[in-house]
Amino acid sequence: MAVIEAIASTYLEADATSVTFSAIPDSYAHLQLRCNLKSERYNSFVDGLRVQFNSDTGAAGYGYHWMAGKVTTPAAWGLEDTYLNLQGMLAARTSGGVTDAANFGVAVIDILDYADDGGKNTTVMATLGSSLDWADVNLQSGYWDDTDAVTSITLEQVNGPNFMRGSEFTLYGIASS
Amino acid sequence: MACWNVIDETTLTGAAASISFTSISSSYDHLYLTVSARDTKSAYYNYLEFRFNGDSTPYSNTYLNASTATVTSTRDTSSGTGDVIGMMASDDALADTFSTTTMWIPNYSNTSNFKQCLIQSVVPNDSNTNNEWYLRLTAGLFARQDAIDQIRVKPYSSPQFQEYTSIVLYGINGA
Repeated sequence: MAVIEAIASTYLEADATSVTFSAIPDSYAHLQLRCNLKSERYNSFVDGLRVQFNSDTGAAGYGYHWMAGKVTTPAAWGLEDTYLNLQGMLAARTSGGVTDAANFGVAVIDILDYADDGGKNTTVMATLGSSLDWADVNLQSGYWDDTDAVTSITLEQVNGPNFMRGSEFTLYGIASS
Repeated sequence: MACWNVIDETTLTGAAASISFTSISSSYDHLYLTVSARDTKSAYYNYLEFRFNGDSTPYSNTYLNASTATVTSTRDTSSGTGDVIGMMASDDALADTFSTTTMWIPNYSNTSNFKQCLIQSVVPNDSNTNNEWYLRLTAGLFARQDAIDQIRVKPYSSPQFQEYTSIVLYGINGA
């Protein structure tokens, strides 16, 4: 087995409300999601990328913090929440100026020891970015307050209503032996 | 040879003061580490130290940090640190929650240049109170031309890594 392998890849031929990777094998040490994506959000250059593990919509609890560069003013904050909302996904902004149809943002999300079952909560480290009139680059943490192994990941938008056609999502498995 | 190669992996079954990788082969182009860590310190976070070749000098670190709403940039020299520094979760963080750190060390085996590395560390927590969570980017310098053949990873000062702390060292090849 190669050390890094593509588990699954999704390219959106049409707008979609969510993308789910299911039946994730436990044979790797880490997972990494690499995304080239855009939200259909109507009135903003950015949207949040919502991550759910094992279809848990908040019963166990999620939280996140972010450190961002926003044009000229850096900022940071976070929330304990029922959602894991990563910041800085590029959005369409079809009101007051449309982001270029050819422009998609970037997200790289690392999930170490995702198959650990019992010892650790699931945690993520993510970098998201897009550069346009409203530039946004983020380093972020997140957690899912549950020690179950991750077997599925669902990606949605905080505002949405869709990921736009042309968005691409690839889930990699990274081995440790 | 494959592009990505696992050099070594450690997952702790009990507390330990440090984790070391020795006799690192020079046959790769770059090194990459993943660290999932938590220590025994009575705090929300601690420094995560990377020491190369057993040398306590000369190091330098430049940071981009957030543990409040204000993002800060700082710099340490070897007199203040003695290692390349990331961040890690400590015992007051949410139970069972470990920090994530990755580190790239490009051209680690060349003997002409100093060794620069790039570290990303995040310390998650179920709190938005100032200084109970941490995000850090580190540009780290080991100002020696020696090839890196040892890496010691440890919490700053006397705390120990907790059980389930894991580190994987990868060797990465170019074409």
